[in-house]
Amino acid sequence: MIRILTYIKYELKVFLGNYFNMFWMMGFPLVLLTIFTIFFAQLRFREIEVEKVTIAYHENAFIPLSFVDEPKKRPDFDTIDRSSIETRLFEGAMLEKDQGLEELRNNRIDAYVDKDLNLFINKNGIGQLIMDEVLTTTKQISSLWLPFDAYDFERTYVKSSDEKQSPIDVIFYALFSMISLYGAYLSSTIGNRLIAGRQTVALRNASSPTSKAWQVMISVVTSYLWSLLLIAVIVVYLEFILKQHFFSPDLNNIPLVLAALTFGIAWGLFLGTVIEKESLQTAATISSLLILSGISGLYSHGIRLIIKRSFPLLLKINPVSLISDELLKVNMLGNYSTLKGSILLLTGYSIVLVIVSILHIRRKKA
Amino acid sequence: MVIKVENLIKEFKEIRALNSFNLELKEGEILGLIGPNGSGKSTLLLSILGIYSYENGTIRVFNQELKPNSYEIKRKIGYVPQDLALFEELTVYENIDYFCGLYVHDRKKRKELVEKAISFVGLEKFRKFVPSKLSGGLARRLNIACGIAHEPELIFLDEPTVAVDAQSRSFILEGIKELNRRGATVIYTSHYLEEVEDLCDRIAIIDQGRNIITGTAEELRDSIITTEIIKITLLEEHVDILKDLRNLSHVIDVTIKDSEYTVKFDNNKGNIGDVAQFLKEKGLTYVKLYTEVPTLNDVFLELTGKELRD
Repeated sequence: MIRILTYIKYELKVFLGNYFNMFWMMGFPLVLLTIFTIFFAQLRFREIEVEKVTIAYHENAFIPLSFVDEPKKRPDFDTIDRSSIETRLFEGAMLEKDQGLEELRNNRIDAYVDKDLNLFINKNGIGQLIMDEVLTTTKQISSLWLPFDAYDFERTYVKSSDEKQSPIDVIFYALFSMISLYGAYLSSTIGNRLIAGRQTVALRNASSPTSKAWQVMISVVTSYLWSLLLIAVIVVYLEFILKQHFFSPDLNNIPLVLAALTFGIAWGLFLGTVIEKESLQTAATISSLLILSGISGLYSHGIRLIIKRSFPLLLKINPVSLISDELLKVNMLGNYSTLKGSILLLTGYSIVLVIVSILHIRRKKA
Repeated sequence: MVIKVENLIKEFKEIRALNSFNLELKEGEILGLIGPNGSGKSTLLLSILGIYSYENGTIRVFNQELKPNSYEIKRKIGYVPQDLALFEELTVYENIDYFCGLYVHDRKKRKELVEKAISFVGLEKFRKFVPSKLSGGLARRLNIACGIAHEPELIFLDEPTVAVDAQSRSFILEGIKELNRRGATVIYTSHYLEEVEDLCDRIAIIDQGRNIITGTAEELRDSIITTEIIKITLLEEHVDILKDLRNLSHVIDVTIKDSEYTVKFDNNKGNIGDVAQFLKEKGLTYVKLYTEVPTLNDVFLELTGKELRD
């Protein structure tokens, strides 16, 4: 045990032995959070004035559409007037399909919803995206035979159970998810110290009687401990210095964050093992994290919406999306429906990546 | 036999780095490997260490094939790579402790070994220095300490004195002799022929991935035709005497470089009298006239047709 602790100490010194590394591993995430807070925090709880989408709809579509505003009392559908509708997202009138499509062609409405909840549009735009989102969620609820008052179409990224709408939260959670994968920067260096032909110390390490698997595990544990410390600092910094409250005291955060850290380290280990050049490893680590975070909404909530519409599978398999979605659901919505699945998927990714990396390191000979 | 290499073939893409290489290392000896850059010295060491795979042949270390999980054999081996293999972020003490710890798990024993290694390479005053704060010579000493701290029975030293000042070089060479006196078997590669001749019990000459010859320095000299080399510097250069020098008995080659004539003989030593007599008869005044036995470079030149230092 003492030997392990000694090596963890040395690994930490090697990882973070200079100010440059220290800045990137600790200072940079704090700077990012600070910048994001300065620029976006004031938008978090502000009402966003979005022009309502103008639609027309078939009579049968009225009921599902009317639940978008989550009415506190169930309306009487036998007597309710279905000729027009107005919610916080859209407004419009009931029309037969032919009439509706004619209105659409004449650009008098943004979208038409038919009796099967199919969306007809004449051009792309934010209004059409919103309607697509509404209908996708509505269909999911129908297919699950859930009552329409379970309507929760914004649950994955924009709606707080007790706070106002804030797409900015998506950006913050995507940023936090990216930071939770920061262990990748540390673990991407592990292969270089074990594969002959890379760093000179690899020759000593590889020729020693200590197995490569043991050496990998020590480095992985060190990366993990550092990442845990980083996350703790980030949370404290967010909550107590920046006064941004993203985390509820919910124990479900723990397995989620641990799975995220594990994935980050496994991802870095994998990249650092299969890519030989150190400069390319760094570039691959940085760019992959930026791309995965971008997909999950780091740069713009709109990008995420477009991806969700065009490549929904991408969001379901993107680890950063999984992390940011689950963080948001746990902390903002108290929704745990997909938490277990996401953690299992992240853990599965990590196991595969670690096994592939260790096999690669063990077999790699010049 | 500590190491036995038979018909080893190692290729890097289309380049054959080791070509049917054979070598034996006896227990307790210091074996020097000499050869020009790219001749295969380092490749041989890394193949024996199991770091390089190879295409054909066998390598046995301590009478066993070295496999990735041959931990007991690896525990007996120390390796000092050609380039500095150190962690810039760790101090002298920590670097040695790090690498020693890969071989020795017991903390107390490791501490003793690290202290001994520090003292062995004379870095007592620098134990808290990081490598970048050490001079080239001291960094080389640290590089060695990291490879030998666990007191291995077999030590691979790959050009440990490259770019080292004279004082550190002498220190390092004395240290290697001391390790050998303590019982370690050593394989040593170097460009410095005098160093190899002074240090090693036997020497293997390597060229183009082949072991050209292995033997003591004396045996290597005996393996070539040249037995004595006489060097002459005349007061004035006389190129026309080259032909006459070649006609002297037992002369096999005469060359001139930078006004110095080099005359090689193939008989027993004692030709300097004949040369002095020849110069007297020709009425030539010499500034320098001396004899020397063939150097390892001469051996290499005769066996391979090229200078070792090319």
